[in-house]
Amino acid sequence: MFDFPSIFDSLNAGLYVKIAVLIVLGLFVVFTFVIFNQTSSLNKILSVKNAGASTTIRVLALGYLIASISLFVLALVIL
Amino acid sequence: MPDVFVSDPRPDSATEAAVANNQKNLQQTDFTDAPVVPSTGKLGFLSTFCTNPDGVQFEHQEPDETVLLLMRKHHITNVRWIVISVFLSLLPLIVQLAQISLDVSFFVFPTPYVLVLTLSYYLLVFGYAFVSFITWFYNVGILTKKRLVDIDFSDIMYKNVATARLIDIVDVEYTQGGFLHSFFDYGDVFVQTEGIKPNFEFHAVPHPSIVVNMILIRMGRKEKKHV
Repeated sequence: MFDFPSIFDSLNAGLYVKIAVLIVLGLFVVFTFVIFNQTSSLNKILSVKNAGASTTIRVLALGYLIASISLFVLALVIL
Repeated sequence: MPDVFVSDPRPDSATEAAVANNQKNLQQTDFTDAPVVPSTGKLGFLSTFCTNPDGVQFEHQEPDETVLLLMRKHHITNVRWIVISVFLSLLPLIVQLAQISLDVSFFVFPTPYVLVLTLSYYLLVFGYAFVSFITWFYNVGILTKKRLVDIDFSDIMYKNVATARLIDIVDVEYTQGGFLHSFFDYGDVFVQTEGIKPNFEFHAVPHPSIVVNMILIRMGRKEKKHV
């Protein structure tokens, strides 16, 4: 069993962990931004209007991007 | 002295003109009257096979270019990533239940970290499912009155759009092997084009025999090949 609180008790260790988490979440934001860009690009290549698929996918990609940015901000604030 | 070999006379300009004219006619022919598979209905959000779909547009589509067939991989090919996504979604719950039932704590994090890690985990799982879905959704084969279009998307970063005019297609065939392929009627369609132009491969598309027949009909050849 790992006792993480004792590790986090140390100020420096907590800071390093926070920075590491923020870096990973920052990369995650970049990843979601790439997905959003790719879906926009693919919607230009192929558009399926009747089924509303293109719009739905674009909205989902945008929602995903917003969620990842929100998570980054949340981590910045609460960690 | 008799000639050992006499080559055929070179085609005169009239013959060349006739051949060129025939090719031009074939290029311009609109096989509208050819027996085409009746429409499968309105194109749905998750359609894998739709003839004469409405509302489908692709890059560089010509104004008078009607889409005759849109095809994607069969739904059954999505089962793997759906099962993995569901399992990954339930994994934290399983771990939680295991901790309660065994009365142990595998990991003890401060509350803010638990919140951030949990949200990150579920966003990652959603990302995996979403990327898998759009990879399936945007891997499309399109048959129009003039061309065959193959749109490929994979690994998030890679996308490729290839087209071939119907007159450049040399051969079309399909393979269908295995229990699942036969049971759900899906298979791989291979389209061979002239010379250095890339060949087309449509993997795991539904009703491959119909796809091959439709392409052959548009080419002006009514035949069926089954490998």
